[in-house]
Order: sequence, then structure tokens, then C-alpha cells
Amino acid sequence: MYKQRKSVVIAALSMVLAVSPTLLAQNKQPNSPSSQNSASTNAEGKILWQYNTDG
Amino acid sequence: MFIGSCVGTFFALDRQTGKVRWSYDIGQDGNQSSFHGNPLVVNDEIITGTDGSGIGHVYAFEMATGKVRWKYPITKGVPNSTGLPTDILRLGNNIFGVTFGDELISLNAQTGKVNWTFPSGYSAKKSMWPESPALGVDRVFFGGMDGTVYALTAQSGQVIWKRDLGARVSTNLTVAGNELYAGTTNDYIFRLNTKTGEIISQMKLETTPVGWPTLAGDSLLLYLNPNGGAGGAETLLSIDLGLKQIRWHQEASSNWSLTRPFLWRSTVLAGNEKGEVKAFRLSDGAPEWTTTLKGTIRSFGGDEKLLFIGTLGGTVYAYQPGQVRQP
Repeated sequence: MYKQRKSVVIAALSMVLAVSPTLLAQNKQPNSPSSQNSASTNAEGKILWQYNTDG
Repeated sequence: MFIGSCVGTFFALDRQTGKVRWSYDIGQDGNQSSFHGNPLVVNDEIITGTDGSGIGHVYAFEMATGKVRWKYPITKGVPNSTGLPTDILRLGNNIFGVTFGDELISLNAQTGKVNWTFPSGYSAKKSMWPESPALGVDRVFFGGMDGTVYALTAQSGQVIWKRDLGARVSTNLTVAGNELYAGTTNDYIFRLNTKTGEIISQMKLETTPVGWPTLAGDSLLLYLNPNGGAGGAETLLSIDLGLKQIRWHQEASSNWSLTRPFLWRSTVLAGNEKGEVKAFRLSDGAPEWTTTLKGTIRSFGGDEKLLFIGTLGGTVYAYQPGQVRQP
């Protein structure tokens, strides 16, 4: 049972995200967000852009 | 910002626009398609581990261009799982990670040449998930599937001490000063002395601690999953660093789908399988805000103003919360 669960977990972890502090500093452009796709807003906040990595 | 996708492509995206700056398809180097650990930024390079079936690698990409500076192939593993799925950590010129098959490896960060390797006593060939190591001033800590925590010299990989915890290590390791935290599959969280390996204190939990125990001031954040494993957790827990009391807990309405607490301002962010992102106040666990995105939440990144949120379906969002308090 445990092994089966682990195999599911492995599949579910196949994405990781990291933000480079260096790039963040280089690209800082406050108040000038642009959108690759159409930006959308919801009640809690705003999606500035989204990108589909296809996987 | 950087993200590895489920189909074997590593992306550098412009954080302002989401446009692709460069990408690298790891499929060209063998049957591998996964990025499971957090990448590591070292000067102008980004280093990440990959895994697959039969082969995995550690890559050092030139951050600006995506050019491969070096790559270290890994062919050891267990059936259907090969490579390095853990976080990569750095101490000086050396980097560390754990491969499938439970072997701690040390590479030279500049060349990718192997310094040394250290297998735990784990001998079964099941596809078990290795846990990320942790670093001390001059040493690296390794939580083995054999139920033993090892302290090794960073330079040579010699064992300084080892401590049998009585059950398989179920969490990544976390260091706070001279203390080391490790969870086990028999539902304990331990606090060890980093110099001696002595058990300072321990706490019996309701179910198995998983994921990345995360320091938040004088608290430790933990996920609990009765089935073990790094996803599908039921509870987010805050306990004191002395392991004496539970300060607060938050149950998932739909399982917490990532088990790496992400600290953002004075909150911790959690995501679930319904696409909900929830921010809880660190001090008492009170809900601060929530939003819903499309797909199971898989990863968080960001800075003070902006969050990046990855989903299992492969979409990464740049999200600006609406109720942002000024730092």
C-alpha cells in the first residue's frame, strides 16, 4: 500500500520552481507589469501573467 | 525565474512578462523528464538535478543563456527511478544532493566532478523517495532510508557521527543553529545536536511528518501525511523549536499538494489539490487570504510583491495578492 502511494507521489511532484535573486534584481520594473496572456483579476488579487509549460 | 516542467524541459522565464528567455530539453540526454528538487543559484549559474528511468543528471546552466556549463550523469538508482530528485545544497565550492538508491553525492560546483559519494545502509530496491540533506558549518547531514542520520565532513565525506532514529527518515533535514530536525515514519519529529548527534528532544505526532520542516521564527512548520510521501498531506502544523507544544494546525479541505511551506511576509502559503492557495498567519495560523487557480498547486516562488505559483498541469502564474500588507 505504501509503495503504491509513493508511486503516485512521484508523479505528482514533477514540477519545481525557483526564483533567481539575481534575475529578480536585474529585472525589477515596479508598476510596469505586462502580460503574455490576457491578465485577469479575481477578488483576492491579480494574475499578471501565466505561462503553460505543457507539462 | 526558473521552472522545470513535467515533460522534461527546464525554462528560464522573464519574471515581468512570462516570456521564455531560454529552455533546455533534458530528453536529449537520455530517458529523463523530471525535476523534483529546488534548483540552486551559484553566481551566474543555476544548478538542478533531474531524474528518469535509467538515467538522471545534475546540470549547471549558464543563467543568462541556458548554455550547459557541465552535466554529471547518474546511472545508479532503483527500478524505474534514476537520478537526483532532491534539493541541491552548496557549501563553498562543493554541492550536495541525494540520488535514488539513497546515495549522498558531493560534486565540485565549478566543474561537476565528483568529490565523494556516501551510500546509506538502505539496500532494498524499492522506489523510495530520498530526502534532501542539510548543511552545517563544515559538515553535511544525511537522513538515510536506513533510519540513520549521518553527519559527514563536507570536504571528504568522512562520518563524524551517526544516530539511529529507529525508523526511516520521512522528512528532509533542517538545521537551526546547532540543532537538526528530522521526522521519521513512526510519526516522530526529532531534534538532534549537530555536533554530537545526541537526541535533545522529540515529539510524537498524530501521523507521519513529511516534506520540508521549515523554520519560521521560533516555530517549526511541518506537514503531516498518514500515508507518508511528499504529497497529499492532511495537516499543516506549527510547533515550537523545542518540540514541546503544537502552536496551531490547519487541516486541508482537499489534500495539501505540496509539502514545502513557503514563507511570504508574515504568512505561510499552502496549496491544495483543488487549486486553492491559502495564506495563514505565522503567529497563530489564522487565515489571511485565499485564491483559487486552475489545477493542483505544485510550487511557490516569489519576492515581497509578487508570487509565482506552479501547477501540476504545467501552468505557472505570476500572482499579485490583493491584500498585501506593507513590509
